[in-house]
Amino acid sequence: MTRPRVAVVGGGPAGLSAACAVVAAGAATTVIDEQPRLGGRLRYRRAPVAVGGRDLIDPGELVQTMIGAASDAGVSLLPDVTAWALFAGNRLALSGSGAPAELEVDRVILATGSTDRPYPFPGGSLPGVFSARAVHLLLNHYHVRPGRRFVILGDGPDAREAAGDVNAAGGEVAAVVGIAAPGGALAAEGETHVERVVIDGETVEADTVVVAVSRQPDADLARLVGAGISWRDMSNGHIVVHDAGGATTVPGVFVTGDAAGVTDIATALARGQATGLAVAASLSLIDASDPRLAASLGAGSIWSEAGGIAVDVPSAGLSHGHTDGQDPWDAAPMSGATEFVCRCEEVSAAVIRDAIDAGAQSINDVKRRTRAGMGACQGCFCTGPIATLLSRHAQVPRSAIDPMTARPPVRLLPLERLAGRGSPRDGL
Amino acid sequence: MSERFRPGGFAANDEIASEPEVPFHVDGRTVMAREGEPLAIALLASGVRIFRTMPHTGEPRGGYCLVGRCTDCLMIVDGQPNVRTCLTPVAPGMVVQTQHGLGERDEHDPFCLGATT
Repeated sequence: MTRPRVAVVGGGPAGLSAACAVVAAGAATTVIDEQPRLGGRLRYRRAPVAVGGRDLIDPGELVQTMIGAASDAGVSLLPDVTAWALFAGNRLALSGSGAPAELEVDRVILATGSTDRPYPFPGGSLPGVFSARAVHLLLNHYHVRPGRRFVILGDGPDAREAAGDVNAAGGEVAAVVGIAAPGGALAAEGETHVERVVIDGETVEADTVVVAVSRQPDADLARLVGAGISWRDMSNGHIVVHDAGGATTVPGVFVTGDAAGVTDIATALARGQATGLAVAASLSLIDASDPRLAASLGAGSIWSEAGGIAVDVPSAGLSHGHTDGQDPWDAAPMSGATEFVCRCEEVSAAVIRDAIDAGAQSINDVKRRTRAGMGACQGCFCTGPIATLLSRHAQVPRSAIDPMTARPPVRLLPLERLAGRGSPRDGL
Repeated sequence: MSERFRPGGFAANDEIASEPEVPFHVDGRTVMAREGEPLAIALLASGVRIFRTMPHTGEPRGGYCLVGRCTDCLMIVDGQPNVRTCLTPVAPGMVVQTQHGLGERDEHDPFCLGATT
């Protein structure tokens, strides 16, 4: 009898944790990740991770342990492979050397994590403006300083962590700009890259700006396959509707980790494990009354047999990374012709405002009128700001705003791949 | 301005720092990179701040997310445009060019199939 097949999209803490749990239960498991190396945010976070029942673990050490455990347990690990679509019937479309063009499985676990929240401001698209994740990656994983004097945008834990990383890397934190005060004037200026940042009329010399205003779930494959979505204010934007085990409204498709709602690494590990067990139960690989399942879905510690990692499921709630009391998007003025809300198609806040004034009532409508969202990121970095502008100027509550319609491919895909010819550049 | 540094205490990540250095070419200049690191990272380490200019405004972009989502890092790599340099590992002798607009393809082999007509 063949083993049921499970594909995990995303090889970060939640994905690896889920894979270890479900392979231990007997599923043939594959982990897919578009990055050249597995590990997700474990690759570039410095702070030790509190994994239940053990001492604090260095993220770099943890990721090596998890990759080793997954590999030893027989998980098929496919880094440098992009899942560019998820079709009904749990069929994944893949692009990357060593990967089948299509992978049909019995269960799909989306552990695609989060992206940094965009924060449009004048000069925000100049070279030298980076997301917080980009700076963590540069400083902590690649040991590259992209500049010398850093201005950090944000009030919450993400901004504090970024400041700490800059200091540890020998860079200078020129300013940390709280964005909680709505209407605060902020602009980056420079000829061809950041040379200074103007904050409430005061000029600060800087060559790098770090946008650290928290994160948003990245679950475009869930939207593509038709999973139910709802908007959650304050922290997350559009959330894939899911139950305690991560099951979405689409049979066979589960969501876990940051993709289910922004959280910290320890919670992502626990959530991944819970989802792995829930998937195993859904495949009848473990009994629905198995005590590990109940323990993982509530507070308590459980062992992952494959990984040997005990993970405490925290009883605290989901939210993490949002600024205290103020949604970052509510704080962004977003009115000018030099603030690109859609970076890919170069659509400014002013153009989007005009479209709303002309009658646009939905994100799809704004997209049709302005091209915002039609670019390569497919709305990843403009959906939240556009929803915010709609709620501000069209009197549409954000809870009533649907994300733009997702279409395959969800990543840039050369025609050569569809023609069955390998592209020489897997990074495309 | 941008540079590589020697950190303390990032034990599991020192594998990057110890890779051999290899040359690649950027707009005709030769630049050193650590083998296997993404092109965008190597470019930032060597002081290159502009990767592309945008089709409508001509404005420069120099990388934003560095994880393959924003496409500010698209450049022409070995003749192929629209390559996400943040996900493309350096190989010795790679030829990288600043991309202006959407990039142009060879009119005789627009899909880079390598076939002769």
